[in-house]
Amino acid sequence: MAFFLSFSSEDDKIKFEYLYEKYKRLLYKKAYEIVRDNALAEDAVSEAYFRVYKNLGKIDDPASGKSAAFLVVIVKNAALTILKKRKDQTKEIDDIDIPYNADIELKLISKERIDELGKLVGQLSENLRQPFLLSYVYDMPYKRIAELLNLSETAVTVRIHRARKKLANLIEKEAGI
Amino acid sequence: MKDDDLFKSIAEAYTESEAQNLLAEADMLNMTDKKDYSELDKRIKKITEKKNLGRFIPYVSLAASIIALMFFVRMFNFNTPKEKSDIPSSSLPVFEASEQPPVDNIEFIRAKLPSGYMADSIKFDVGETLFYVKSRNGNDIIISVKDKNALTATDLLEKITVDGVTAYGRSQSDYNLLTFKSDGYTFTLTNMYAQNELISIMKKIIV
Repeated sequence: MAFFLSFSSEDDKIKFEYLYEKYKRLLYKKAYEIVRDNALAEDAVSEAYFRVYKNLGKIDDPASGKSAAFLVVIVKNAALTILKKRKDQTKEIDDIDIPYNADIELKLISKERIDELGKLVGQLSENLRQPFLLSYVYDMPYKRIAELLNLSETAVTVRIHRARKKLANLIEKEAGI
Repeated sequence: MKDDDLFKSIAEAYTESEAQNLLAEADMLNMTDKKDYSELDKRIKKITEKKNLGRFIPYVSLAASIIALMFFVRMFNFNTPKEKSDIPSSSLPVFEASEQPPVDNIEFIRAKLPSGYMADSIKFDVGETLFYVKSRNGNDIIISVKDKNALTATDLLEKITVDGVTAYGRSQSDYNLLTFKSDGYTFTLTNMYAQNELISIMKKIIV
């Protein structure tokens, strides 16, 4: 596919083309798994690539798994947003209040357990996981995350806080702290 | 280990694990997925093109502002008795553009473009037709076509001759402008980076 674009640099153009050709099928599949509709999945992928286009600077190595994960975070958010609008959901999954033991001794967890504990992130809902990963893995400020996920900065703050709370509880439960 | 460091480590461990799975999944889909993505390809192209035009329009506005400024400077000079005699009557601004755009068909410009350039949309304004053109290299060029008697003030532009035809140009770090008359029209070409590109187009238009 030829892009008749004038990106800020030739490198950006090549980067975008690469990201599109390499991951469009993956992103479509991830979106389809959420919206279960061809047109809506394509809507989500289009929206995701539009956001990627605006955030090319965050992608250093388009071929890396980290970049793939970044795109998947974005497309899932786009798909969930579309689904939410379609279903007019009145209550988000992450609105459920999560009890939190604020005194948890997280510092006692050994580094060797981290890979294992990493799997717990998979237990977070998408709505919590997306901003959490963007903050902790991609070091994006809350304002930038809000723009990327079409959320308010307050919503991002709340979701990351909830993600931390839920993870802390999962760690406490799974790691036996 | 602070909480934030721990959360970061856990998040990175999760992402690293997921990333390998995603790369494998992407490679597999790229080899096996037979779905037709042509519609999606078109949509992505359209989205990014729209975005780029949005980025480019301010430069057209800037060019228009320069021309308008030149027009008013000229008018001011024209109305100042002391300077009036210094201005050759032939270079006085003339603005007689009709309300109707001079051209209503995109084929008009397509027939005048060198190979490797593609006019993909047309827009109408008062007395003006705008063509959005893309080069083979992906550069955006906007071509304005007005009546031959449209604004001709060129004070701030550099006079050049291209294949025997007089043109007026301006080249800045972030935009280029070239205006000339040909075939009963006033053409104004603008782009962001390559003035040579404008001259190439002009050469084809004036043939």
